[in-house]
Amino acid sequence: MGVVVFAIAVLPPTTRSSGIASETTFAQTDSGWFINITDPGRPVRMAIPDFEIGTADASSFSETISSVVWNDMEFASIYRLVPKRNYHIAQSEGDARAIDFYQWESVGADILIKGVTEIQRETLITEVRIYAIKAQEMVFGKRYEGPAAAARRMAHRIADDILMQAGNYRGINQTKLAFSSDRRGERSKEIYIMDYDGFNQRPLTANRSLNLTPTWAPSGRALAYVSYRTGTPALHLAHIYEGRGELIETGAGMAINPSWSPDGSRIAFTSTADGNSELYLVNSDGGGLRRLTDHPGIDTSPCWSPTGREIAFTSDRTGAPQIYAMDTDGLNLRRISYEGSYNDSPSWSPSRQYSELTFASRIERGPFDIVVYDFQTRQTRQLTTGRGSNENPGWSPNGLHIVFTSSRSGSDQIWTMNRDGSNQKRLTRDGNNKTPQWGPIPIEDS
Amino acid sequence: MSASKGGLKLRTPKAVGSLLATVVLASLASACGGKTDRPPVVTSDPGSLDTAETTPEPPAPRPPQPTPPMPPVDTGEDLVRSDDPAGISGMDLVDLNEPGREFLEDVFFGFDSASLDGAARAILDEHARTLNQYPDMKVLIEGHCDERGTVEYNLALGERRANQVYNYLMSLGIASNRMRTITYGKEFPIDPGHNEQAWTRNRRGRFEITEK
Repeated sequence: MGVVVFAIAVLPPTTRSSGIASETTFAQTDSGWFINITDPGRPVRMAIPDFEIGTADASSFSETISSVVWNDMEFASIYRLVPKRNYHIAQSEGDARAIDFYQWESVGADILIKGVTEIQRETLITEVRIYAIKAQEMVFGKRYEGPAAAARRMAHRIADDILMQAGNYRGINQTKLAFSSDRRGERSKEIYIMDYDGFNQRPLTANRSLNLTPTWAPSGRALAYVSYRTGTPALHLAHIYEGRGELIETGAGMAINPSWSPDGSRIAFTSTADGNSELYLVNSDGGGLRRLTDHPGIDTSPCWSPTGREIAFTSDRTGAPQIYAMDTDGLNLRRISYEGSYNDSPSWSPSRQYSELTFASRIERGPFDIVVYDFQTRQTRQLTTGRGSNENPGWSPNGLHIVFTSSRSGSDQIWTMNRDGSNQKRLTRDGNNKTPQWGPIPIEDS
Repeated sequence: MSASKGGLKLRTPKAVGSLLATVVLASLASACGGKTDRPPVVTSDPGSLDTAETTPEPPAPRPPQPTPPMPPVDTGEDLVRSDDPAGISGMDLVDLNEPGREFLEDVFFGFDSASLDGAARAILDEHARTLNQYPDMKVLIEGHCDERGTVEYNLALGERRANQVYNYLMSLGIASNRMRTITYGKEFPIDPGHNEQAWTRNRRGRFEITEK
């Protein structure tokens, strides 16, 4: 069972007509953002009261779903969340389903999320409605059904729907992260996966060898990674939901640092087949081996542009590791990074809105910090500052968040932050955890 | 996948025959007690994987093994400098590769560098003489890095270090089929410290005797 399918139904509107015509205060812009057009500078405020408990046995699930939805909305950083302490003013005493739009407006809410959770015949059911307060109408309603054990997943699904319906924003709440961890013993590193918020951490490999640098298939159903399990570093595939793995044949030499192409057809990686680290391509189903670079320096750490037509990578051809880009046929080589004495781990933003590349950068011999290079302005901005060493940045699939490794807590752990460096949040605690990669947004079944 | 096998110091190339297997079995007990600085290798089918959805509780990790005190060195016998071919044939591979007392000593590199300085060349010159003295000996050359670079780039740098050693030994007449290289990047520091001294010790080329 790979993907839990929630049965869903679109709810009929329950708009309470107040008889007072009100202007539509909200409008969608070209970029699809749900903004306040009467005062564009004011952030849109969202109220999310704890979901109601429909049946007594649903109380803990209601609590879980409420808190996950709240945390997801906080992480997305799109809306200003109205503090819960003010909600009592607007909560109706009588009919729980009646919405007192004026009171919600008085506590500062522009958007109200209402939910009810119940258990019926061992099935978890949550109904969610989104209200536009000024317009005094329900703009979205949906009913979710699923196994009770999948409450967190249901909540992430709800949060993604809210972001899409209220803001035309592609949430990443249902995504997963893959990383390499030594938590089962210093001498081995296994590939782990977890939810984007750090929950449900679980091992994918259990071979007690070195397993490093996972990269997601765009389907989200497979990972390629480097394993030493056969005695030499080689590319391995893990079909996550089939419990099956395979070795990718890459010819002679060591194969390291794989990166899966956006269309899923190829994997770029570093091979020493010709006696020196060069970039290669191989078809993800094997075969089609092709060399991309030919230089006595080290060429490594490839990553794909979102179009699949370019590859950024690290090369020390000028003496120190710096970031370069080239077309996928190996032509049109150009240097990207000029600041910093040592730059590595490039990751190209998948965003359609921003054209940027993040990588780890070091000045002199100090620790690394995460920087972002903007292709339009050719400027580089620094997102982390001198708290431990910050490495291995990778974009969320909507290009608005970055996952990275930081040693600031005294050990290497996985952290996430927004693309402006705000909201830095630690996800892992056990052992040392490195080389995270953010998985794709799962394909919706509805 | 047996845990005890996982603790072995030897990565066994396919070419090694049953003699080695005997040696390995004979030395299994002592090998398990020692600290290795290399990852264990799984020889089972690489196709077997835990599934993500139904991952069983992973087997409990082996409890940390206390590092046994170094066995007393045989009086009068210098393991590393022995010129007696009989001396090496009387030793098993585990002894030859014992951490800290390797038969072929490490060579060290500068910061972010894979070039061999005079000291490193002098050590390798000696290794070449030793390898010429024991023509059946085969070695795995490991490239290691200090903790300061990134995981990815250090994997490439470790490869380059191993490769430099390989090329230098080849230039001294050692046959390529007697040497194999591997990179461990910064994954297995011999010194866990976070200072210049530790970094200096960790930027190294290490030799594992795989056949003798």
